[in-house]
Amino acid sequence: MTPSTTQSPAPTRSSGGAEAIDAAPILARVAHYWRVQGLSDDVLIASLSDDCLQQARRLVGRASAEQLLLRALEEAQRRFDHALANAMGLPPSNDPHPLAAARAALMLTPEFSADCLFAHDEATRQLKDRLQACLPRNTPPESPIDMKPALLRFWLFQSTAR
Amino acid sequence: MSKKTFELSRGRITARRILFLLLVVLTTFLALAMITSAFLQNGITPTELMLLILYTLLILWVSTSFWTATLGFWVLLRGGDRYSIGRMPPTRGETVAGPPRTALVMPIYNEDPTRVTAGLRAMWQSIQETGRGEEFDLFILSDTRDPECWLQEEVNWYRMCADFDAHGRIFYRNRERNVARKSGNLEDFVHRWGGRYRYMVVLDADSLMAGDTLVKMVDRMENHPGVALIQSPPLPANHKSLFSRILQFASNFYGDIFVWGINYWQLSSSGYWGHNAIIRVQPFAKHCGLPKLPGREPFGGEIFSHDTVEAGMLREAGWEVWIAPDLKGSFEELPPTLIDYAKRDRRWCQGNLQHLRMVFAKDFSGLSRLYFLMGIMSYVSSPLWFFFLILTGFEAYVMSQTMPVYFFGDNLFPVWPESYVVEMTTVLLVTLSMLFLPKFWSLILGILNWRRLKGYGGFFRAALSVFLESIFSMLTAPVLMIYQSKFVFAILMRRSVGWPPQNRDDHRLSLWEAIQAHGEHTLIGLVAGWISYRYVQGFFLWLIPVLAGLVLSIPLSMLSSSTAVGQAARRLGLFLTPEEYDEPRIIQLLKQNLEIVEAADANPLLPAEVSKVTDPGACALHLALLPMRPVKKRQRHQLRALIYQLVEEGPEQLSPADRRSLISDPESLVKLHTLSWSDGKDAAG
Repeated sequence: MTPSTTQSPAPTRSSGGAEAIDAAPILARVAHYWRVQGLSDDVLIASLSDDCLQQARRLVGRASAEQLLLRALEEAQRRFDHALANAMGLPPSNDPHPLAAARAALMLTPEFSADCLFAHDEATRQLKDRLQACLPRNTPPESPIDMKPALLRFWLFQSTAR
Repeated sequence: MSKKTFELSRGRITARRILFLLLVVLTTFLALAMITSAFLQNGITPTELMLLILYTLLILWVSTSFWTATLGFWVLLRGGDRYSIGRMPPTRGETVAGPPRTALVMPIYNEDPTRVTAGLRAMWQSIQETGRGEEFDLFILSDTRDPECWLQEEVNWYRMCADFDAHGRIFYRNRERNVARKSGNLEDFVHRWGGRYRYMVVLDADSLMAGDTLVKMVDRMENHPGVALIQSPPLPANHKSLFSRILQFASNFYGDIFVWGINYWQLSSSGYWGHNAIIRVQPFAKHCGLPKLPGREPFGGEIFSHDTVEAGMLREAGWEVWIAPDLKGSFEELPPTLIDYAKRDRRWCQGNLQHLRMVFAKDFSGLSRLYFLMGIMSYVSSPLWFFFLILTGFEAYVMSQTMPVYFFGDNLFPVWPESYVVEMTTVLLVTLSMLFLPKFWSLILGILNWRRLKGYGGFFRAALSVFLESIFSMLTAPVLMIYQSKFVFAILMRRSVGWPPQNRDDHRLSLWEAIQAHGEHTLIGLVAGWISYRYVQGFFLWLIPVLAGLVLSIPLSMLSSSTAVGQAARRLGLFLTPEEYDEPRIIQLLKQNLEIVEAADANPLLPAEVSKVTDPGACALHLALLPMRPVKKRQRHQLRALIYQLVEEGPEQLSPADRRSLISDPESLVKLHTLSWSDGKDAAG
């Protein structure tokens, strides 16, 4: 199912003559992706989308539109995560969980806007504390107790093994 | 921890049980004496002997239920029972340090996430309104396998935490493997977090419990340190279809006398119904670890109906198990149609028949064995009634073919055959009375408590509802008898039915669905009707109520599945319940939250039908909750192959298990998310 696109930027064509790829749908899709991630500033979205497309072009060269879109989306994810990690003060790590948790909190809590991730101002600095309180904590620390299977002995039937 | 008992003496417990058993046995004996006197006159034939055996078993079962209800009626006439957990004075035991902490645990398995979340939100709000919310934590123990349902559950859980500022108080976990179904799910909870809590309240996906009720349950456990479990009697609520509204009315109107009756003779050795009960965690962990039964399903393997066994284990370990008849504010939901009801019965039937083996367990007392037998009998009684009807018809046919002999030997005067119409009619009337009198008891209680009756629409509407409910239950009883007989035979033939999730949503049955489900019932009714009419006309007349239920099963099932008819009946004040008349706060909260949860899920930026994998927020949350698992090289290749298959053939070509594997792996999940945005298709289906 294709996510609907809104507010498509003006169509542009990438350089490349006869093999040129229509960049407008790609930009529109990437812009929509930014919006769904919680950004609302149209100027910021347009600029970030364009940056992502440029970076994707650098990576894949003259690939298909699909490839270009894929790379542009990956770039959007990378930039979003980078900005979020900076805001949260998260060190580079192979563990995707802390960043995913922050991303989830930012996107699923209505009061937050992702615009401030790229503002680099006081709001960005405050975001860390506010997000910290909303990070998903799905289970508490464990406090195990033993629960061994009981032994059931039967007349006429085989007993259970402990 | 102490296991000090109450002031309730052993003698009183024994006296009550002896009284109950005497009443049951005497009633059975009297009914049996009458029927035997009729049979004995000309010597008992093998068919009559079979009829006697069947009748003994059936009348035992009917009189058990009748005397439970009648004792409950007696107790309520006298204003309640001082030997109930709500009225017993607190008992002293060893003081346990610290305030009690209680976990509300809801095991779920592929249930509707909207209803589950709305119910949990309502309960959480209700607990906070008591001012004692700090004592409770909430656990959603998911065994859900369906990938979309899993993702939705997570999002709903997170939104709930955010809306109530309950991060770190409301928890969610999805088991990687659902070993031992619900009992294994709970066991996993106890294993991992049991040490944090003194009590746990076990809920079902459709449970709804008011905060006041939960607080009262905790207080009672605190007051009685020898009690390991208190079962609240859940009432059905919030139903729309005619079928579920009739059942809701019946449970509500007649339920009290049965629950008080159960308390009367079971007292501190009561049972556990699997949900809406509070359990002391330590003894539960110590005694209720369920083993796998030797052999294969349906009689071996994991214990399906774990609740009865767990209650038995607690009782045998010296702990008390109570039912609390006075506790209100505990609700559950019913299947919306006759077919769904039968499907649920099929699961329960297997669980109860598996207890056949538990009857032979050495470490259980006679009372526990009786409970197991009662559970078994609630399903086995159907094939017994079925055989009883067939044999009665056969016997009537044989009798109709027998020519009476008026003159023996040299006697000049005829010897008139003796009539046993009086005895047989008495037997029939006694049996019918025992089936219908409990309804009458409830009506009498209603008349004596006018305020209560107002909640059922007043006397005339309540009486009319009782009458119509009796007709309805009379018509559906033969259909359920055939269903349950089939289930029992299938299980005895060792065909397991598994443990499929239950359908709780309202939906009107189509004609085709009804024909598929009830075609055979209609056919059986027509054939049995024709045979009895053709060969034993006298028996045919008696059989009409049974035949009517079978022949009308298709229209009856369709009509009763209708929510429009159910709502029309409500507008007329029929099958009204006090919860419909004056909606309790907890049900109001449920309705509000159903709207909130549905609205919250409507993301204006994403079409409603896209997969949750496409939603960056849901995807990030899922990734954050996934456990870190090293993936072997071979598994990695398999996962990549699945992604290729998904891209080339579409998500519908992947099995739910494959799709679950994909979203259980962080790398594959991110890949799927990106693909869902890049290729114009919803990669996760």
